[in-house]
Amino acid sequence: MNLPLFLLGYETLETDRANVEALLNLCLRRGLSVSDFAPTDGGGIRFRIGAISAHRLARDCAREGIPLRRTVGGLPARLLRLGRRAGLVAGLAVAVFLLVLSQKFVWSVRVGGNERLTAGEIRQLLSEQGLEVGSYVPSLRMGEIETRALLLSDDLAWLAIHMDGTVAVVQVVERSPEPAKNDKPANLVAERDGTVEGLELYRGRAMVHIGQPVRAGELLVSGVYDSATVGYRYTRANGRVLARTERVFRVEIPLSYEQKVYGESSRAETVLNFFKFSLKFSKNSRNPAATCDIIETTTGEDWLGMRDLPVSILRRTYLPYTQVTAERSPKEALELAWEELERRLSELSNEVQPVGKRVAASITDTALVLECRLDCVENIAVPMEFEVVE
Amino acid sequence: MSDRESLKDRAKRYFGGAFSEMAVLYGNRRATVRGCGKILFYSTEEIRLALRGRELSLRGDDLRCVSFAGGSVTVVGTLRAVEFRESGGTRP
Repeated sequence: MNLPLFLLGYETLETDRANVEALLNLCLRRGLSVSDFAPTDGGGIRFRIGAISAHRLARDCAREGIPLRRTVGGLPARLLRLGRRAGLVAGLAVAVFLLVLSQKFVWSVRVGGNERLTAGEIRQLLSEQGLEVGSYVPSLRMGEIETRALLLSDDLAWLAIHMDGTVAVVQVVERSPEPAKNDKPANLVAERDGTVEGLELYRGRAMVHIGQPVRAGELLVSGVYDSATVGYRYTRANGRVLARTERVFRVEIPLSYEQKVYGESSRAETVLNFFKFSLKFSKNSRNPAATCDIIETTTGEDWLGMRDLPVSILRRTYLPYTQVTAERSPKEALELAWEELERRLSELSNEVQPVGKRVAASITDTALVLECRLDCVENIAVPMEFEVVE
Repeated sequence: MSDRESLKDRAKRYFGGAFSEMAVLYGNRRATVRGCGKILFYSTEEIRLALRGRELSLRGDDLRCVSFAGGSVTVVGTLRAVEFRESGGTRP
């Protein structure tokens, strides 16, 4: 295909065997250049010429009675066909408009340099100052936003924002936390019952000894010094009192429970989120069932392979269900009970050292009960402040 | 008779390039014929052209006309024979 011919538009002319020489002589008389000259099956010929030349040639053929078949082609013809599809043209125009206009808005806010603060917290802080996804870039005054954000935040020492295309890149430096100073006088008391196994005293006066049983709330280390020479002196007691304790975990699993049975019908909604705007594409007119689960699925941040795209599709599915009563066997209940017990034991602090465990299971009319008695060695000293009235 | 070239012949020689007949062959794949007045016959095996006072027959396979610019006819294809014949001289 001849590129200039395509760009300017062309016509394919065809005639039958009887008029071949007459048509060729007309072309010779006009001094035309043709392309894609080819014979047809019936002995006729077919070729392409420019649209303007074709128009003149067709006029000559009509005058001389030469039958001609004409087919229009090239870019102008295609654009004309496209122009008849108003929706396509409108869509293209909107796309171009958005492409040009979208460069004026913030598409993403990327945060770097944060360690204790989350990116979401920093984005929230900036959003309150006017910088967020969808903000109009020409109206943003970065210097003011940086200053206001620093003044309002106690955790940031430095903040800088610059635009990289449509992405706002935010660099922060956090303030170093000051060590907490607490000089208020305090005693150490027992958090729970136990038998003292060890003492680590940093400050204060021990009131218990190893092997002594203590109750919750009992004084372990005193922050009061009584001196015959200087009188009473108060301090903040500090240390660890390790004691053998017993923790009881009770897990109860009912033998009958309510189970969800999902129906067959479900309906879905599709929502297109573009910056702060939402557009629902489909919505069933039927009302949802009285009880239903709603499952929402959103395309991720790296949708279409592009990071932080401010466009996402949310799909919301409604699954109606009814509640029915179901029975579980003691074996199933026991398995669930063990799972729950393991979960609770895993939540224990690292400061608690288990040294023994006794587990007993029993079945009542309505439930299976799993009871675990855990022997531990742990620090039971907790500070309790007191006021000094002179 | 003088051996000197006549003015008319000289003028023909200098300026007759545009009006004289000429057939230029480019191998056996292309032929440009200048001074063609009319196309007498076309088929993919033979094209007959009317020149001044004679006919030119181009025979071959898959013959196609690609240009008629400037009174010349350019034919491409696989040429096998080029033949001049005397005729009544068809004027364009």
